[in-house]
Amino acid sequence: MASKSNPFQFGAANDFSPEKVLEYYVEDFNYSRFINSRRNIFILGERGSGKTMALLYHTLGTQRCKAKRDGEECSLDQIGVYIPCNNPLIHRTEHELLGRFKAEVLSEHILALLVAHRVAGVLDEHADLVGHISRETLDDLGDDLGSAIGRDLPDERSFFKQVLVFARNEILETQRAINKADSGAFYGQALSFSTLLMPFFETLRRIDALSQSHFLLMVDDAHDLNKHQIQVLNTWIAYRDHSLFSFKVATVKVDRPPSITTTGGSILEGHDFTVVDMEKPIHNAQSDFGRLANRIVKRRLERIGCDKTPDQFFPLHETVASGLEEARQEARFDALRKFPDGTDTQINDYVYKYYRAIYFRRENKANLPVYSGFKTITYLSTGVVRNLLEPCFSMYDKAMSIDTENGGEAAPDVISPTIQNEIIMQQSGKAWALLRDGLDRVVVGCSDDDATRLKRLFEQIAQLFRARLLTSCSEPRATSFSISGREREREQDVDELERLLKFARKATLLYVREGPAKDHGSREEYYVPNRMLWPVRGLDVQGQHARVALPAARLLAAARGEVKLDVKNGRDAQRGLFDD
Amino acid sequence: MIRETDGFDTIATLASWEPRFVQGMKRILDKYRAQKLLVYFVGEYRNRTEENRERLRSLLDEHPGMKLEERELSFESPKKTWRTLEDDLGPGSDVGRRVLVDVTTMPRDVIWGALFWLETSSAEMRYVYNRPKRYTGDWLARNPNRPRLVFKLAGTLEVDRPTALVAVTGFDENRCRQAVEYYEPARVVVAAQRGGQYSNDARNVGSGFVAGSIPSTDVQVDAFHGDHGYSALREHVEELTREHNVILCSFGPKPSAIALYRLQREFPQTALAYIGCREYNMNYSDGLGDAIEGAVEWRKSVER
Repeated sequence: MASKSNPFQFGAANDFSPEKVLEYYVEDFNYSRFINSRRNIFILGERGSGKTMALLYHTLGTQRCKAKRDGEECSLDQIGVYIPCNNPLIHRTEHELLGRFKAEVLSEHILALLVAHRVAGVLDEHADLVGHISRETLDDLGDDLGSAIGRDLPDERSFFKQVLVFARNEILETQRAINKADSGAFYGQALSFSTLLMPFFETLRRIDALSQSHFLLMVDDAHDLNKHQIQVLNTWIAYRDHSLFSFKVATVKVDRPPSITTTGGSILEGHDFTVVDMEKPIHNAQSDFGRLANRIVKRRLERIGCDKTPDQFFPLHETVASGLEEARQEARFDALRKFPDGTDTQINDYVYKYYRAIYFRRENKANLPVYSGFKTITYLSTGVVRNLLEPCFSMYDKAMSIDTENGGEAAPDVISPTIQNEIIMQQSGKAWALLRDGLDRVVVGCSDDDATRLKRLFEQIAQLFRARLLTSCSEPRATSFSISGREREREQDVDELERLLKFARKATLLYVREGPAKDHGSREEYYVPNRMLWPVRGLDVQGQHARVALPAARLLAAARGEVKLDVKNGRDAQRGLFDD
Repeated sequence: MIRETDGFDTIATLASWEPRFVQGMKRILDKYRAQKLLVYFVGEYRNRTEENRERLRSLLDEHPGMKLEERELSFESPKKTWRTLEDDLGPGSDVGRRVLVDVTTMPRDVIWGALFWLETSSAEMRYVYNRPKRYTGDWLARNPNRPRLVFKLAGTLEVDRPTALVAVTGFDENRCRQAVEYYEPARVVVAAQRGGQYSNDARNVGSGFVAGSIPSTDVQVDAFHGDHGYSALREHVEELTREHNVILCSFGPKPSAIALYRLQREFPQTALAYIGCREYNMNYSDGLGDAIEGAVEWRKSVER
């Protein structure tokens, strides 16, 4: 019998055991294999985009589980070390009381200790993989590192434990020093990349099992680091020799930390690091994210012993399927009438463009359409893993509750379209409630006024998209927009608008993607509102591979409540099939 | 221990635009003698508090021996505020041995900074909190800033421990919610003010701001009486410190800030955090209610 535990668990990946990470993580279609390279990598994405999970998958703990599962020996060629920064230690503020030089030294000291602590911790936890090290060698390693950093390491059972305890004690000692009642209090014995980390990694090389190892230093939530630590990290990233270690830095896209180093230089994409964007555009089920979503859900279903495909487990409502088919025929009929001598491509393009609009127009006349089917759920995710799992989790939970109430004992083997629709409508309502209650409640820096403006703006955008769907225009199902009117004299409007939109991005109600612009060869950013906003508005969440160009001044005026957006405001900017 | 009948070397207060600021100071000055009155004001609210500061200056005509010093603090520069408090109240300052701090309209970070420097100076300290008659039924404060740990009072945090948040709640749900969003605690202790004063039963945010997935414990405190919630929270804080980095936040009645300071000093591994706001209601409160007074006894001298 299939397991009844909800397979769509999501949330704080940090709480997952290595076994669970291994069980849930899908490596394909998200470029996360880049992590397992010797290059410095920046992993970008807002909350829920799977950054932490990607890092955790590459930790030594998870890789060891994987090797065990596959009946292989765990390799120490690449050792992944997870270094989370959402620790209050990182949020300490005393460096602000110091002059710039001491502030930098103190900040680097804490960051270097954090890294050393994590590396030593991982090696201590997996010391059995490293093999037996004689007492003599251990003493030598400890003594040599102690000499190199100018400290005595504590007497512990292993070299790794010595470094672990040393780093922990040093962190506590540092805090005691800076807590002293003197605003200029400083820690005089501060360590750094060159005085602690380099000697530590060099010492590790002397251990046979680690002599060829490369450490993947995976820094999560790097946006939590203070400005000096960001510069220090960038300086470390600029270090050319990648034989010992490389950095994998996960951070948010909005207000991404700057690329400045401590010497005032910059690290450059392509030269010093590669960027992996964890948020993906999703234009159709065959896009990378569509395939990733399919694999994620398939794997989760396998976990509960269910061998159905995601499409079978989350079926489309029969009336929707037949309604869509009728609309397709109607669109074809229109096309043939419009292009009596049209080519197949012309006819098919017309059908693709309009049949879903025909269906949604018809459904919106009576009631809201029924939202169901795995493809719908995938589109609703807007290319973000957490957005994919959240409705699945609630749907499964609801189905289980109903089964239990009816005396059923087996795990659900299908989620009825009725349940799917009910949960989607609930979550769509919640997304609007977030705007209605005010983003200032959840987004730091968002003022009450900003929240009110965003509420108005999203309302206006929804009305515009709905008007486009219900009236005849060339791209009726477009649910993305780009900002036009970026002329020099409109710079202030654009800045103000982008400042405002950042809050919506932080609240994961809006995503930014990049695609080709109208001008040949150039690219532009465009905005994709979280598609979970659309079901309660009766819009087609599948959207259209198109975006509406809206003037910055008009968008800003709409946010201020001065104008209403209407179909005339938007200029269609349809993309060709292979444009993105 | 200072007795109520003793005079003070310094009375320190922070100017507000609220009516209770001047009314409360009049009550304090009528009751206590002091050599010096140290009036802080926040630079960003200079104009808003000017009228009340002028009224306070006039009040001093009736207390001719009292020296007045006005000192500017800054919301935008915690460093400037901290340094000013150090200069005025820290060792080497002329704050004197006996100090009365009027915490009525002091932001919590200023209260904690003042307590820290007075403790460092080994000054004997009493505090007074003047309750208002009522609060506005509208919003009190809005547009919170990013949460901050307090200088020198952020404890000794461990690198590999989960975070626990102890939050004394008030009427401002946004700030409570932001503390949870920012620190991502593994556990939360929600300390809600008990009682029906100021429509507390209806307005206190309770534990609704904590996501269902985070284990939370509800505790009732009374910041207006006794030890302002210290005893009610002590065992929870002690238990949490065994396995967590503990962050203490107060969004509730001001005297609870005194209780949290005492807890931080007793459990020096814990951290005090505060979330300032960029906007406060001009009609924040009305009238003058009872005064709550007490003394703070230092546990031991601060290491210097």
